[in-house]
Amino acid sequence: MPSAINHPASAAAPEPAHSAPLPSPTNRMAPVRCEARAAVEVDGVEVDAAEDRSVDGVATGTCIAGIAEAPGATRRGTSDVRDTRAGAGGRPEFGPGRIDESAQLAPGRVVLHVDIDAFFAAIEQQRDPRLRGKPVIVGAGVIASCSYEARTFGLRAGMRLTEAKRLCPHAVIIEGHAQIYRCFAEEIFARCRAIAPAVETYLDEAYCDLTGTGRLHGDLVATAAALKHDIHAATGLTVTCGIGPNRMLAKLVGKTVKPDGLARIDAADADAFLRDRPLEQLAGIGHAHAKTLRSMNFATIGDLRALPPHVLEALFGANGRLLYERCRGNDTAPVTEREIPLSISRETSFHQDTADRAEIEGMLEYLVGRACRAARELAIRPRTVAVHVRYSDGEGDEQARSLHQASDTDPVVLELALELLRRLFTRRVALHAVGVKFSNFAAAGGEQGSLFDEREAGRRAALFRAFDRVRGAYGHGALVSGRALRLKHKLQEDRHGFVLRTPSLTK
Amino acid sequence: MRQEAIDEAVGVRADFKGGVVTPLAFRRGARQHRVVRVNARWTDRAGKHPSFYFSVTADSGDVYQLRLQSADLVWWLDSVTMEG
Repeated sequence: MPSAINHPASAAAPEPAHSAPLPSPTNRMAPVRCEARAAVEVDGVEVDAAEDRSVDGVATGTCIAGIAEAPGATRRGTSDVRDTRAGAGGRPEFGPGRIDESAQLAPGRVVLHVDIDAFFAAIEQQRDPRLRGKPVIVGAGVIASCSYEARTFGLRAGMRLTEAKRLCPHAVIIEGHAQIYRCFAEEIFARCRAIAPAVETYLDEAYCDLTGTGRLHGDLVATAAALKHDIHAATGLTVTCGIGPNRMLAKLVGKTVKPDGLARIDAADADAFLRDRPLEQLAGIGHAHAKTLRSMNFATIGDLRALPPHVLEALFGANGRLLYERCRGNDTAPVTEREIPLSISRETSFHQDTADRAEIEGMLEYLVGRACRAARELAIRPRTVAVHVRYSDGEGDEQARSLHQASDTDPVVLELALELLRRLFTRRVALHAVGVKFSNFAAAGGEQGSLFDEREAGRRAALFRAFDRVRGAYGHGALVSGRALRLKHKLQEDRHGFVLRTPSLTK
Repeated sequence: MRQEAIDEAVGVRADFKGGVVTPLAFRRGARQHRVVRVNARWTDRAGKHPSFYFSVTADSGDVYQLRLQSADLVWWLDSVTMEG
């Protein structure tokens, strides 16, 4: 694989410290206060002193340390990566065993963001070497992932396949292999867990909390470089790593060195790093927020700092307060293992758009069964069930309702889901996709039924626990029930159950 | 590219060196296919027993997916991807 040439330092030229916003009555948070807070907890220093120290850190104007592979360099060890720290007087070699003092001595939080480059497409290129160097698209209906070769034609995730084919007619289109991607992701995340006490994982990225591991790991940049090497050796995939004093900065600095890059930013450099970036890069600003802000003549993250918190709250609700902090480089969100998710979704598009109610209800029952099993594994019960449909003409609709009592047993949830589907599926148009989403969870305990069916509820809960054990041992496809049996000869099966066209991998 | 599901139990000659399994050749029907390259390998840990997957390029140039089920140590030929 060709090595990427990254120049993170170019985006991180030292800025004069005087332009950093200082604490004021309206801006009670110093630019790197969250890091200063962490220093207080770790070092037992007075809060004010810690804040002073953090502001001084800005004044020193040190900048991002970006580590990128040199062109043509092999992928062995840290001796092959270079420190492109602009403020360090050129580009000193970053040899093995060298201690990165700033990483070791940083008193606050250290978060490592690991992002798998062009995840699905890279796996397909890995599985079939004939695809390497070619534009590869993974997705059905829309692009779920595309290779970097495809991106040179303007393709990007979320784009409709019709548009993608117009822009790049010779692209190889693959519907995808969700279960394989999950296996690769688990392999990578297991390596992240080996170096970090807390790892928060998503579909193709992970946040690793390295706070307090300086003595264990020594040079955290070298640790990240070793992780990159391990992941590549085990899976053949490249990842981009960003190290920062919080999640937001770690992810953002990683984005500057994609693909296959490694960069670090210190708390003191956050202000200069963020100020001139387009505001779309700030976490929490999507297309709608960006449009609103651009119409008000705000273009950069630094511009956003002119708005007081109450104005941002008036514009964007509760999210406004977060934006107020984030545009100053503050992000106090912890890295957690997400034991209880906000929602559990299972959705898929049909291999062929269908108006066959039996097939649609069968698919819904199958998806409800998968989602209920996921909830039982997490020992949580959903109170709210939502069903959404997308018609073949692109129109979509969703309805949600709450159960009388939170439940994780398939028939209880399915009854409500089918009712929602009957209300939703009213047009004489074939369905393209269907999905179910659980939310508003309660911790699982003994299922409380009504006075007269309590015994029945207990028996039903025991039955589904037994189902889970069988499926755990022999795969989900070992037991298929009810309407889902109608899918039996229509869909391919593997040990994980039916092979869906575009299954949701995580939510 | 054209992928075809096969899902057949096959005989595989493999190297189990240093704790790493590497398929060397497999027989499908009367024909033996020599593995010229292992493109990717991954492990599916769902269920009680893991399954080990291999994407291999055979001497014909086609790419096959092989699976070793650790539960019964049976090799399966899952699919083949051909040009065109």
